[in-house]
Amino acid sequence: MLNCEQFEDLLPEVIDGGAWSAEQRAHAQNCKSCTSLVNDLRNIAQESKYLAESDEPSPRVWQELRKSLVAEGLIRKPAKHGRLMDFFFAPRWRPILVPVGAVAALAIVFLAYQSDRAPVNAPGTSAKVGVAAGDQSNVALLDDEDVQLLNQLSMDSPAVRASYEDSLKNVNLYIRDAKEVARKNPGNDVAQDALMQAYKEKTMVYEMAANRSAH
Amino acid sequence: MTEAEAIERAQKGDGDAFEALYSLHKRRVYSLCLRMTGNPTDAEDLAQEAFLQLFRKISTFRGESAFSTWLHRMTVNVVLMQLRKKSLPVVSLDESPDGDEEAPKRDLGADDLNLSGAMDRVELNRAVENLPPGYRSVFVLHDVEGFEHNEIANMVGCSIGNSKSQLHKARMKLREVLKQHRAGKAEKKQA
Repeated sequence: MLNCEQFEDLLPEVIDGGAWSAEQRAHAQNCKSCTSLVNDLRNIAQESKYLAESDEPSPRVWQELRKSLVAEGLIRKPAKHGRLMDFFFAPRWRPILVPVGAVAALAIVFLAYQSDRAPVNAPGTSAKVGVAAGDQSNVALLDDEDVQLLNQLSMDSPAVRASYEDSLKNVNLYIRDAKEVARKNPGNDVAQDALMQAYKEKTMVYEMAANRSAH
Repeated sequence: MTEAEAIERAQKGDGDAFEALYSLHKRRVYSLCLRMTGNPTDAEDLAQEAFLQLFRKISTFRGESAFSTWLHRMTVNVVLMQLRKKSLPVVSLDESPDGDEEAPKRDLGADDLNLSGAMDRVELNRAVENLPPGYRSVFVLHDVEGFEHNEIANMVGCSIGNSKSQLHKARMKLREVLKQHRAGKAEKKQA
């Protein structure tokens, strides 16, 4: 018959599902103290599982992590692009992309014609509707046609203009990234396709703007 | 967004997908780091490092094993590496169950205060954080995270027997602390 000390010495081998010897079983049945010990240790093990997800890190962790992910190029595009692309280029829209593209091209020509007649960047208005001087990142993300389009839209409402400005910057960023990828991978169909889609997305933005003007 | 969708989108560099994956697992990862180190600032740094290491390799993830398993293994590795760098004992240096002065001895003649019933998790949490570092790692890996002794032995570099022995000592230590806490509460009630 085991004594309590011998029982406890053998406990680590059996408490988590090992095979109990007849002697160990006999001791546990007759010793209240050792039964209580086994129950307590099992209870601690059981309750400890609930500690696995009990604490929340501060927001700082994600902020720092995100910075690192952007710096290392792991986050390559803002999520907006993905959502826009997923929506516009979902399989259900593909059959109409070509005619829509043609219409959009016409819309661009129309807008260019209109912009020739509009008082674009008239003295005293450029500060409001143009790109802020000194903001090099904005300058890089908008081309002349974009600025003309935004100037047109700003006549409707500043909010509409701001919304289109965001869309254009995003789509231009996407085109720039897609161009870079395509340049580095000249024979890669996926990269070429991504570039085509980036241009199509920009066409869409122009088309939406044209539709606004038409109404 | 499901986890599978988030993984697929994160592989394409989608920022929202990375955030979704982080949100799904942040509590588990941070809690593991906190239990292992006992220090909230260190735990946050380590959680950040674990996620970063994982996200760097996310393009190689093909779903052969569960994403969470992959992440937790990586977190354990990051924490253990850090503990070793700081020269903190990952397991107690003592291999013999008899020679460790910190191992609590049971007073075999005394009445046992049974811990069964609703256990105070706040107190349990505190008791785990106050475990000696050498016991804490094995306890957290086995009882909190659910790793097996052979896995723990591999991770921390000890024998399976040592892992079992460390776990037993950790549980005994916790039992002692929890009983003291419960006895203290009972005394207060009576007074």
